[in-house]
Amino acid sequence: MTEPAAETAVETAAAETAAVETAAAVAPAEPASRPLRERLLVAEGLHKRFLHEGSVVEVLKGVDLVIDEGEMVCVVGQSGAGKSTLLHLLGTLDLPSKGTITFADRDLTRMSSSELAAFRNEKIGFVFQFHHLLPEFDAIENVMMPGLVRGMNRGPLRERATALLEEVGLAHRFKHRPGELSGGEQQRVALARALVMEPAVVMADEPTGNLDSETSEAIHQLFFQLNATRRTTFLIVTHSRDLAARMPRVVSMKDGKVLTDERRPDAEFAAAAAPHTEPPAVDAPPVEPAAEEPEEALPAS
Amino acid sequence: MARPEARADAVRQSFGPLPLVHGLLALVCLGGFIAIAAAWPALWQLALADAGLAYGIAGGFLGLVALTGLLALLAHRRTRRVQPGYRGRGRLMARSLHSVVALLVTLVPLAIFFHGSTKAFETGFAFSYAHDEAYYALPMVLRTALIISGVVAVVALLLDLILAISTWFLLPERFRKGFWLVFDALALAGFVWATATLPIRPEEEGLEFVLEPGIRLALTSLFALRVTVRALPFVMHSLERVTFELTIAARHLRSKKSGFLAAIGGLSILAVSVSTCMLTAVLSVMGGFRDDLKQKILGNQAHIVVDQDEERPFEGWDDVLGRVRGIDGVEGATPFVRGEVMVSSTSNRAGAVLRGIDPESVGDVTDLVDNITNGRMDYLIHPDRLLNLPAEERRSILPLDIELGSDDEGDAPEIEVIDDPAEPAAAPEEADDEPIRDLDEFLREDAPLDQTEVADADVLPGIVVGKELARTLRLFVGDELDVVSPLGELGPAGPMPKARRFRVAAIFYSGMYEYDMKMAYVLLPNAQRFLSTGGAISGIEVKTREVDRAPEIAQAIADELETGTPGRPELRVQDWQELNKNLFGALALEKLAMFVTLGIAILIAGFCVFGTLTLMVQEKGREVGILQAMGTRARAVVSIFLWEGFLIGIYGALMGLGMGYVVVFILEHFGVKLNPEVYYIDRLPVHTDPMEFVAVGVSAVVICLVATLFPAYLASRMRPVDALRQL
Repeated sequence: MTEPAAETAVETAAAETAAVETAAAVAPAEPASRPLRERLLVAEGLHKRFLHEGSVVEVLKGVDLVIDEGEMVCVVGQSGAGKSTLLHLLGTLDLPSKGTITFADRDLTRMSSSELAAFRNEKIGFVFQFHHLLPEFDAIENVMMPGLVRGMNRGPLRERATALLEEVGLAHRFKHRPGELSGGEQQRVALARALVMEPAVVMADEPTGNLDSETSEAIHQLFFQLNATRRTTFLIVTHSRDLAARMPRVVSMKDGKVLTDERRPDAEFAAAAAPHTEPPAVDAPPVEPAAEEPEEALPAS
Repeated sequence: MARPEARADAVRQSFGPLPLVHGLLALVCLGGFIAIAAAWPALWQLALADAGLAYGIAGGFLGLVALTGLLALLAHRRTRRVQPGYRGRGRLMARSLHSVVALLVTLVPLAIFFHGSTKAFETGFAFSYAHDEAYYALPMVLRTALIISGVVAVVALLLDLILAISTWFLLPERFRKGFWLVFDALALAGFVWATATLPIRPEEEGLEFVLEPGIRLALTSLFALRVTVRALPFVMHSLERVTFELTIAARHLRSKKSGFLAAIGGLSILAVSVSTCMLTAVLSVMGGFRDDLKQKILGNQAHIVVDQDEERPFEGWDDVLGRVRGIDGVEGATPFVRGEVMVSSTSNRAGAVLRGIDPESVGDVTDLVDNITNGRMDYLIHPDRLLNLPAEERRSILPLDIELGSDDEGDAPEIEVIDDPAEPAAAPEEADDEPIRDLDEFLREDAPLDQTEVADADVLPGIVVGKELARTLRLFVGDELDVVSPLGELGPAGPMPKARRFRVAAIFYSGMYEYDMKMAYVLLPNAQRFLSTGGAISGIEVKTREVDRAPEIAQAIADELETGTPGRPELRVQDWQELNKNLFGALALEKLAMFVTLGIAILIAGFCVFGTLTLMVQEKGREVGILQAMGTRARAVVSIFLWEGFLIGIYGALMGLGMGYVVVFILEHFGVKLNPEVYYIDRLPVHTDPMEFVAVGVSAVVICLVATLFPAYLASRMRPVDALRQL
């Protein structure tokens, strides 16, 4: 038992130093305010190949990414650029063909599947495009589900789920099954579910991909608000220019590589945060959300 | 725009209470058909006994049928006015039309049968099998018509049942709920009433005693079924609170699935329950045969036999007998001598096993005394009494419940009168031998063991033979027979067979052919002398207080004989299971084979579960992905599906066991009559062993679990990403 553990420790250390170097290489111009934040998720040299009908398809061709704690990161790019795959790898739903992912100094690529399951349960919340709620359970049970997976007591869990559902504005819909909820409501439930374990990161894969613009806007507002109140890190893959425009950090991908990684410390996202919350760490004055800006952030969408 | 809406409203209005009418119709029809089924036996009995009443009942029944038919026709007319395309219209139309057809079709065989039974009554041969008579009273054409129309009626009734169920769901939900509420209240009342007043088991054999427990069983089953249906949601709900895996599993099973999956899920539960039911029923019948055999063997044979290896004489048995009797748990012990002999009467001869017994103590050990059907054990001790046997005792031949062939009945007394030399000799004695009998009695007081010595030439030692042997040799109580031992004295030309004449003192019927055919009992001293054993015996038979403790008591006896003084280590102690090892071994093997063969039925039900679960995994693949994304481990995914298989298995098994119990009860009490000439038992024996029920239930559940293993493994092997991509 001790030997592999030691080995892992050594390798993790090695990976860490490597990560530091890579991070430095990728984002050389880090503002002075940045070092206050902890590095949460570090991906280095991520490759992902799929075997498709005998031929190898390389979806990711060496992606390096560092995500800090409390950050809101948006990944944009064309369909097939590898955004979703990157999200799946970072969320440990899939394993990279090459490269390492480190989460708070732990090498995720070396963990066993049950360790990964426990890790996902505790640290990561997912929101999917098709919300992926469990159809047999009502809203509150869906929200409670990650806690149930972990074997938590129902009483406190129910309280927490109730509070979350109220927070996302579904106080009147506890007992409804997903089939009885509208698309936006389902997505809110999914968001509440992603948050119930108070994860370090919420990963959303086109969360508003099949919602109308108004509903999308409401969901986006929720993201900002939650980031502001809970300091939850968000990693959002989106096609929505509207959202991307307001995100403080936008990573754009093309053909399995990171094309640009843009940080906007004075981004407008703070404005989106509801007025009843305190502004987050980034000390920026409220600015109107700009709708005419996204072209620069979204290369040929 | 307003017009279609108005039309839709009109349609809705015109549909009105139709579902209700149809529902009532369905209930009336079903009730009617159940009534037909129940009334049939009564009707033909009535037709035989009281034609007038039967015609009255039949007339009333016809009226009911006509009313139902009219109702169905009216409902049909009404349904036709409803706009096409309305949900359930087709079902309602089909159902109402079919009601009329089914009623008419059912009437045909009923009418033919009724005709037959009245005809049978007129032609006057009214014995017990009324339905056979009714059938055979019909001309050939009508018999064929009866069979064909019967089959058609059954098909029509089944179809009607299906249609009734399909239209049932068109009824307003409130009506259905109300109906079930009333139904359940009635079921509860019926259950309470039955439990309070009716016996759980028949007090005696016979159809009239079975009726009340039968009603109780029916009411209890109905109630249990309703309770199960009512309690299921609560049970599932409380199950959900146990563990996370169980939560998901229970919810999966409860959820409305795609129609196909729901159907095969239901089918797999049904498959499990039917196979379980079948297995328990068959095992119970086989257990019944075994039990019957065991009972018969134990009735004729001792629980434990103490004897000696080889053919060495068993001397000094008085002491052993005393010691055996002193052992705790021993109810009785009796010495015996046995030898192979040939018995011959004037008409026939047969091989037999001659057993010398002690009539005083044999009753403590075997059922021989109780099994005697003709004559008395007393005559074995006092064979002189056989000489002036009361005529009715001697002549009350064939009192056994097994009837002999007609030629036997006719021939036997004749042959006896003509061929039996004892007969003319005995007859005059009856008239004028008073002094001799007095002398006998006087002598008996002196030498009670050896009456044969003191009696005159006609007083022969008594012998008790089995019923089958008596039949083969055409013997009756008081008849003489020769017993020939192959191990005789040495004569001038080598060993000579030794022959001796005995007189039949009694005939016994043990119910086991081998014993009834092979056994002949005489007094111990007679047998000892005849078989030239001197004072030795063949062994000691022992009866224990509890049969089940026979092996340990046998061990106790063996220990006592080995270690006590004087030690008799050469003696062998065997219990009845060892003595009949081959027989019971074969039975056990047969039962095992049956278990395995019918277990395959459960296995096939297991395939059904396998299919269901594999489909379930396919259908729920995305959900598995979601759960994995939320941090469910592979192990938990496996156990989710294992739980599902377990729940299917346990639900099916419990239902099957319940059904099995009902089937076994019906078999046991309404019984299947067997031909005793062939099976030596008059009805199908049934013995229910609770352990067997448990074993069958457990194996059903285990098979379901095993069937679930692969689908569960499949589910756990799905990568979350792939599972999530499924849409």
